[in-house]
Amino acid sequence: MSILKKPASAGGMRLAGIATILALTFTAGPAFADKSDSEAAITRAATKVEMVTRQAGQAGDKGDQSFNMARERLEAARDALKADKYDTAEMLAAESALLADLTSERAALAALMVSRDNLMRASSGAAPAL
Amino acid sequence: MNTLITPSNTTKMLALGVSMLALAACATVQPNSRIVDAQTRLSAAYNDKETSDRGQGNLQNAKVSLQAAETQWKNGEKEKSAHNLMLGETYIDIAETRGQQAKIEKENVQLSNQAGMAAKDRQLASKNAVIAGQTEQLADKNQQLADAEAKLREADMQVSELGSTMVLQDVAFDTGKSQLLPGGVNRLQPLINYLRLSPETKVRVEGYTDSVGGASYNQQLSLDRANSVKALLTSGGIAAERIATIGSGLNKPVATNSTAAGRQLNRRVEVTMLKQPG
Repeated sequence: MSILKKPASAGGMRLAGIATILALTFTAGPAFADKSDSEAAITRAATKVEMVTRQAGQAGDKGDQSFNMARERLEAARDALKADKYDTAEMLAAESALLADLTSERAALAALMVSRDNLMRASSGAAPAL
Repeated sequence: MNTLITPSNTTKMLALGVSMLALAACATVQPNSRIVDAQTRLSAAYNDKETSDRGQGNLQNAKVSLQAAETQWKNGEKEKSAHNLMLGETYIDIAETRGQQAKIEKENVQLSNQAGMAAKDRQLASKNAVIAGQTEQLADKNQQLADAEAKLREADMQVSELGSTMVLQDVAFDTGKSQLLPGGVNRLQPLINYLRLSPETKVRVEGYTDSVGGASYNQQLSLDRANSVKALLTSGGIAAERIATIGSGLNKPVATNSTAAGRQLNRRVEVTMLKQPG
């Protein structure tokens, strides 16, 4: 029993080590996405892309490419889903959603810059830009 | 031999082998320069106050993603590494964007205050310009009033307790008529100019006659002549309510009615600028 116990204990330690390695390796997403995971990720990304579409004009004015990148990745994710490449589809959808977040933040920044320009004109006595 | 192949020894050998393989792999894989660059950007972002404050969660996510990307790169999982690198870079982009937002928000608060002050300055400057304009107008008006007063002094005014009186005699009216003659109009013009510039000044116009004719006739004639003077003043822009008219007829003669010279003095209209109370 004592001989059996030692390997069992060492095995437990090995399992913990493997779990750590797995956790580190796949921190940013599960390794084996199935179809429903991919579809859910694509839906999330599509919703975000749709939401920032209205803001994209302002962000685009400032030369921001993140909106186009978000749309391209969303399309690529859909293509990967059709090709049953669920891992790839989920990764691309996650990238698309994050790029949409970036677009939204940059659109907010662009709006703040417009306000700043108008305030600068107002504080110098010039007429605000329309 | 049995001791050599115990489970414990087998495990140790396996673990040693795996470690050696891992070490060998680590030794041969070159660092990914994009991951290194992203980690450098991450450090800079953490050192920027606004980015660190506003994008704290994103920077934490970037850190985890970049660590995963590095590990995957070392393990040869290039697709996953590239994915996590992309996520890490985007998280940094978002954090930096939020940091920039915070900076511009601060600038906008300052600019808003400055704009408010600038607007107040403009209002003040506008008011000062109006006051300067009014001051200039007032100075002009005072000058015009002084000029008009000088002209009036030339018009041979008589000063009494009531005020300054201009006396219009025969040259102002035909005998028995109340229509003002050009000579009378000309004499009244300086008075009209003055009254236009001095809107508080009120006027009393009082008509008198000699004793020729009945009292009733002379009463009406004197009143008509006073009203003729009032009509001229009002046509010159002086408000009617500033002008009181009185017909005194043959009363209040200033000379004897027994001589022609005396009667001439008695046929007159007196226009008095009343002293203002206070």
